[in-house]
Amino acid sequence: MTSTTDRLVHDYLEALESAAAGLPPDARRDLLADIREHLDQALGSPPYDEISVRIVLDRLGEPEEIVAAAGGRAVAPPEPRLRVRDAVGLALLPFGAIAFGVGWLVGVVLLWTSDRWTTREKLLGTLVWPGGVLAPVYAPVLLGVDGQRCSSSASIGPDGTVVTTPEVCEGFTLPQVVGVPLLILLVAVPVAVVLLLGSRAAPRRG
Amino acid sequence: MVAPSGLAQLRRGAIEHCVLALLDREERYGFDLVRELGESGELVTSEGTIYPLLSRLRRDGLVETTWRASDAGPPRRYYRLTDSGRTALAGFRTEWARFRDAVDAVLGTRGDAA
Repeated sequence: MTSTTDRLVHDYLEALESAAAGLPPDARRDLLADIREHLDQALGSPPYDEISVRIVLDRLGEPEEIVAAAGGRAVAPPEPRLRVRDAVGLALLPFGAIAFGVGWLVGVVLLWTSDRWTTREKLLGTLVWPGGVLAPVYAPVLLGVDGQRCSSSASIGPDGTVVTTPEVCEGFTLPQVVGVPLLILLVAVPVAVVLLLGSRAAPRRG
Repeated sequence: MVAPSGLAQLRRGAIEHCVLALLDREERYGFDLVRELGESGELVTSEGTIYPLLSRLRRDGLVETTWRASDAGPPRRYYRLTDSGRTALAGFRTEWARFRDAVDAVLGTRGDAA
């Protein structure tokens, strides 16, 4: 039976009708009548085979395109510069250390499979990130929190006062004068790259 | 596929006058016009976009239409060039030749030079 082909034509005309909703009534009526007439003549009399129906519809073009030619809406709604997947990818790069770096890997995959950046920008995003990912690991060492083992003890003296032994530290830690700027750098560079990639993102760049 | 907007506008203007040129020789019905324009694949990629163009030409008074009975199927709307359509076509032919030559000269795309 011809139900498939009927449905193809019906769906096409329906899509055209809704796409043409924004046209002035006269233009809309003319357009729909013209396209119906075209379909009648192109398809001939039923039964039609599915392939010829598809060819006829393909040659007509997308309903949105036809409506745009009639002065209606743009051919396609403008694409957002950053899609959700791009934003997630960017966010995962610096904060991807969660889940032992798997987040970062997902971020890299999202970065490279997106068309929002050029290859050079993708490289930049990929190369900088190992630092970003490991920053939480460096941080305690750099800030001297973790590199040293310090111990002291306190006890209550016979007279009820607290007696504290002097703190004893062993181990090595980066002087804070080096560690703090380095940490800031490790955080700042990834953030800067994320902001840069975010601002450069646009459809069809790479 | 959407051409860059500058080229798209150039195309639109050119195709519009190609329609006028096809009607210069004889009156034709819409489907026949659309099929001939679509034939080369170069001028028109989406046949459906010709119909809004024909409506615009009619609104602008460059073509006029009449309904004629058809041997096969329902009556057809025939398009015919009006006097102002003929004037517009003649103007475009001159302009186009000048424009094409100037562009070819700059691009080095003259048939004999390429």
